[in-house]
Amino acid sequence: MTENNAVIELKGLCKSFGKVDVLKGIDMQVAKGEVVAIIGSSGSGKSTMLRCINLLETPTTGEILWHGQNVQTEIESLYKYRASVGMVFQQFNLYNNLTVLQNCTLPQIKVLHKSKEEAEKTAKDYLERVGMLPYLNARPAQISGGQKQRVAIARALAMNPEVLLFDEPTSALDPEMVGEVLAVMQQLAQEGMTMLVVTHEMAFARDVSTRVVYMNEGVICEQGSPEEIFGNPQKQATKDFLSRFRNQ
Amino acid sequence: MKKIIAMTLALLMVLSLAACGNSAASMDISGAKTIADLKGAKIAAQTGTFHADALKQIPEVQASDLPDFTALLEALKAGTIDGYIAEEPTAFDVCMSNEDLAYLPLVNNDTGFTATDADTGIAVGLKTGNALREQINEILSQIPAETRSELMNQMVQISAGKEVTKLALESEAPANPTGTLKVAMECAYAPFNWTDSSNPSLGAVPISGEGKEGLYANGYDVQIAKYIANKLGMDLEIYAIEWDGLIPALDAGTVDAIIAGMSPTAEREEQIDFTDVYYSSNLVVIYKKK
Amino acid sequence: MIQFFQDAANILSEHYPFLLRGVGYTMLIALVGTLAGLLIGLATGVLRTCPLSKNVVVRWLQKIANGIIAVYVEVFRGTPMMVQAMVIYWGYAFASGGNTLPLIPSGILIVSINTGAYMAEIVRGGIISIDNGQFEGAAAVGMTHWQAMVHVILPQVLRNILPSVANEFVINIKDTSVLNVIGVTELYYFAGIIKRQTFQTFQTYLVICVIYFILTFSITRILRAIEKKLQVTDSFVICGSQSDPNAEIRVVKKPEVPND
Repeated sequence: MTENNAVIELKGLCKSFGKVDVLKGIDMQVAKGEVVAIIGSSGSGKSTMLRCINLLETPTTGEILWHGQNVQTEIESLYKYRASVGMVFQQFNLYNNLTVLQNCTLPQIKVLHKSKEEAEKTAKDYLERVGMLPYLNARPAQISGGQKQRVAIARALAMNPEVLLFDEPTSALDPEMVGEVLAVMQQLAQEGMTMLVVTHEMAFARDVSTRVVYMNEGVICEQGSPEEIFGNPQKQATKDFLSRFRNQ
Repeated sequence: MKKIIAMTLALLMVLSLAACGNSAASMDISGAKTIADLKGAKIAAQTGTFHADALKQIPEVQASDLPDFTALLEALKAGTIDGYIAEEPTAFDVCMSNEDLAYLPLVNNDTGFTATDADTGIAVGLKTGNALREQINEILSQIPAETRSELMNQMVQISAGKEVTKLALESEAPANPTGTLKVAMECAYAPFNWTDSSNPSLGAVPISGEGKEGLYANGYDVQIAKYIANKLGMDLEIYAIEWDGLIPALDAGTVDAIIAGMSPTAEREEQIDFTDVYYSSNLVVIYKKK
Repeated sequence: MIQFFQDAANILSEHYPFLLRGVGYTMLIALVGTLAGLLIGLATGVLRTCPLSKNVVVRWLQKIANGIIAVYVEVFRGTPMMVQAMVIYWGYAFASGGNTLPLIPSGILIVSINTGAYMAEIVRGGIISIDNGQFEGAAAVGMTHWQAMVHVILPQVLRNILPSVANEFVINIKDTSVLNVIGVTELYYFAGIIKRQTFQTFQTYLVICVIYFILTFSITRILRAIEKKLQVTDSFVICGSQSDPNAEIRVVKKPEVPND
């Protein structure tokens, strides 16, 4: 993997909240088509790293490169950059005042300057793919958590992003709804979408991802193919973490 | 148990509040000939006026003051006070409209209150140093005393809804006015100045200002203002302004003169200039017939 | 007693054209003043909740604007509207060498500025109470702060603060009465004229009291009905089913699923 084909590269990324150092120097590259599962215990900095990538959090020090360009200093527009890096949140963050369809069309119209017809066509395509087409007129308060998350994925996809970031997409769901969301994500992975997924779903990390990153106390502790991490972890911390999961 | 205590406390509070309030008046003052005969009565006057000071001339008076004349009138009607001090024209006006009210015809510096012209006379207020003062004094001096009292009498009649065919003080409007005289008054102090909201009465002048369409001013002050404007060769505009806004309006230059039944007291003389007095009235006491 | 109600009826029948005009101006000033106050509240609310810019100059301008807004809110909430009316109306006359502002627009201006100070706090509270996820959901797709405010945040804020706005409107209907100190011909002003003509102070104010109550009571009912209507949007249509793509299934109200 050379620097040239890296879509996203993190160099010495640090983030502190007041006196608490959450990220203590992260170096990572993500190439096109990779599905990176980021695992680790709560408070290890996984979500913060993801939120730094699209600048929902401003890094304290370090660089984030997008196709080799520093996203804080060199890119043309923060808003265009964010449009090409989709984000799916743990709490869905659908716009509560809008219908399912409007949730998917508003960003296209306002950020990509698409016409309403064009935006609706795209939105309906993706809503159909996530199985939410019948609910076009429903509002977020009227649908279930799993349905909301599928709409959130459709909203992100409708922006035609190069990379999708998933921040614990199934953690806020009732167990019976986890499957429907994971199925959609698995399908995306198979189609070659570049994805960074912060998750506690070890089965997803093992079966779907192309690379697993284990984070501990603000640094990348160990990374490798799913077979390496799950079959033969090198570090003691990784072993401990994974054994805790097996016992559950 | 708690309920009973709460109820008792509430009752006590109500009772103590009632105890703090003024007890009702009961003295019959209808036979009084001089202010000495009003000894010990409950008499009220308008806050911040000379009337409130004059009140203290009554021996052992139970004095009180209220913000405006409608409040005084309500207090009298409700029986809270025995009587209140007013200028004779106002008193006459009120008694014509209320059959159960009458007033003691006291005469200043005789049977009634000790007062000077500055206390009970009314004058035109002008911005300090305004050259119009001499001209207006000249014009006012041409109105004989009989005309003044006849005009006041007519204004009381008109205010009470009685028919008057020809005003005692008349003048020609100028053919080519040289300017506009803007005059401020409350339009709320009959018979000196009041507002006609239905049909304009004889001699009434439209009130200027937005939202005032269909409102007319009339009264003794209005007739004097019209006379002065005509003699100065100017158009007249009347502005209805609250009592407390009159002097600010003059200071700011919004109006040229105050003709509002205003007495030229020493405190006001410090802020604005006054012309000679254009009417002087006796202070009387209005009471309720038993 | 019968005489009393006779008097009140006479006041109505003789003076109704002016009472109607008073009602008209009272409602005009209260309505326009409330809406303008809401706009002031929205503008100041958006400014005050805007994150500080990274640009030093812009950041200082933001801080100055926030300071001015804070002073404005404190001053206009901390002084009676009657005093504000006197200060603004006569203050302008002094400053402009005697010109006065036209009365009805002055009244609207004073009510707007006063209401704006209250609305500023109501809107700010409304914006703060919106879940941060709504901002992030908008930011993450590349919307600017302004776009997020206009299309996502403010529509939700408006719906949430509607009861407070309605309350301000009802307060304004009553509080326009203080504008009689500068001579605005609203309802209370005509009460003053009528009481001096009829010498029937109590009867006059009783009539005015009933009119005010009818105004505020009916407005309160209407606004409550609107609120209710906004809440009952809990029904929607599912388009198409597996057997029939043109089917429409009406889903009427669904209890909210707690997410935890």
